[in-house]
Amino acid sequence: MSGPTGEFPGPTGEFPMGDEPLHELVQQELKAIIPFREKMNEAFEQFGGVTLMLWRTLARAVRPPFAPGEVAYQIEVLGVRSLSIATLTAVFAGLVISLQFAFFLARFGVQHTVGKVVVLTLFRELGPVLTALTVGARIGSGITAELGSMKVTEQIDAIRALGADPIKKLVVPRVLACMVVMPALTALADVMGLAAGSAVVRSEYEIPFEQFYRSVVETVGFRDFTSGIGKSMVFGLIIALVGCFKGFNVQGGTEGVGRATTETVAIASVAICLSDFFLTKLLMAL
Amino acid sequence: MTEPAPPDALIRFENLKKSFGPKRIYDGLNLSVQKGETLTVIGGSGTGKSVLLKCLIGLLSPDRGKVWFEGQDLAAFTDAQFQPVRKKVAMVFQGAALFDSLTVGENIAYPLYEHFPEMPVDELREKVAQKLALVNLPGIEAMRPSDLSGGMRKRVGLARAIAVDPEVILWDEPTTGLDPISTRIIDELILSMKRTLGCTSVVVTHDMESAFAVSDRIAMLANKRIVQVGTVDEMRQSKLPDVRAFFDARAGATRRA
Repeated sequence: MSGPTGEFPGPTGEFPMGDEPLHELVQQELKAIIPFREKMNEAFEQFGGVTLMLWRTLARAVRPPFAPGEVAYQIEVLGVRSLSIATLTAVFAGLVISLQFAFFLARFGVQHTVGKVVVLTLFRELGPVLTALTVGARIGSGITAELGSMKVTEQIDAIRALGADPIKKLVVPRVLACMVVMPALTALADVMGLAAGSAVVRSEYEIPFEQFYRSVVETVGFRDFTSGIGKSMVFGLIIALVGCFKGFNVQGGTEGVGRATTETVAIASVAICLSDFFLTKLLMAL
Repeated sequence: MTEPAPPDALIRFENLKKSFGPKRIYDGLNLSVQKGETLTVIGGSGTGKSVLLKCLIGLLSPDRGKVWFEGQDLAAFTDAQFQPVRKKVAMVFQGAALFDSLTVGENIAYPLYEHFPEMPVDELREKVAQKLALVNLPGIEAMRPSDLSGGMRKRVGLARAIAVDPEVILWDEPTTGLDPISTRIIDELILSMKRTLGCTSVVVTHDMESAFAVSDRIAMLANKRIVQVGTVDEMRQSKLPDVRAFFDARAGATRRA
């Protein structure tokens, strides 16, 4: 195309880099940076969007008319149908941490204290976090898929056009339901995990139930239980908000719904892990 | 600066500007709609015809310019301020946008419940039945939207839109994706809404047959503004290249078919 001037690195076998002026190289480097910068901008924008949605949701949640029926329906859809997944996760988490701790403590001959460690791990961390991650993935993706489909078929526009408020109608019940459902499922997970743990150390390390639960009761305080429950309530809020925000902002038709659903799971999971650290710090300081 | 709309125009878009990111949709668009007429806005895909309707019912707001309706400028209205407007202006969505989780009857009752929460259930039922009869689908209250055909969904969408007895009906691509018979039925309904309810209609479409059948006037959207408004005959005789191109393309398509 360019003739013999050598402006373009042709099929001559020359090493092309030497011919390129420095500023072009710099520009190439900059081009590699720009997507990163855009990604950061996008992340901040989304964080702002979720925060705004939180504010609007709170403002509408405290103002009548209330819709307890809709909240109850969402509790059933989001919570009751998550019972099996929460139980299964908790049982296996209880089994594995009990085995691991008993194995470790047996080295020092103090395996009978395993109940202390298991209950603290479960109540303070694994119960709320594992439940939030597994149930959250299910609930969050479900919310995004449902609201996203409503968005692409203009149902959310229709709600507004017919004189109703989509945040009040769709977001408030889901957020409230999640904030009820997550603590309840976490409490269930705590109990199931503990039961499974006591059973496995009894059969593997011959620690009787009575001894296991005595060490549990000696160790665990009310605060250990409530700190986990408190965290799970915040996780519920995060899951519902991210799910609703992603659903409301779906772009690009049905393909966009799929993309948004995946993003919800990723963002909610990361947000749960990050906020867990800060919530733990905060609750310890209180 | 608050210059009122001329008394004869029910709706007037004045020097409207709107962009989506870098993409400019309107650059100084002007259009007025008279009370009781059926005005059709035609234009190519992606020219932002539907945006006009959405500005009028508050689903989008223009970047600049005024949207006059009954002497009020809606451009800067909040959602709360739009509430009374949404009793008078109703929209029939392109895909009908029926709520999948509700029955047909509940869909039609939805705006009634929102605007008139105290309405007794009997009256609500009666209104729903009456609107379904108006779109020639009596007695299907208990059906689910997913059980309906595309044409029926559109008609239920219309029944829902007219539930609150609006003065203006906005039609977003009412015949797109419908078979010829359903298209004819919808055209007939657009005409009958004007005849029986005295409604003003703004129709957005690129279906020229439908535009000819229902319109009192046609407005052509091109180059980010309305390039010509006129009766069907005036538009047919237009010398403007944009209008000619649109009308000739249609004639060509008919010939090939």
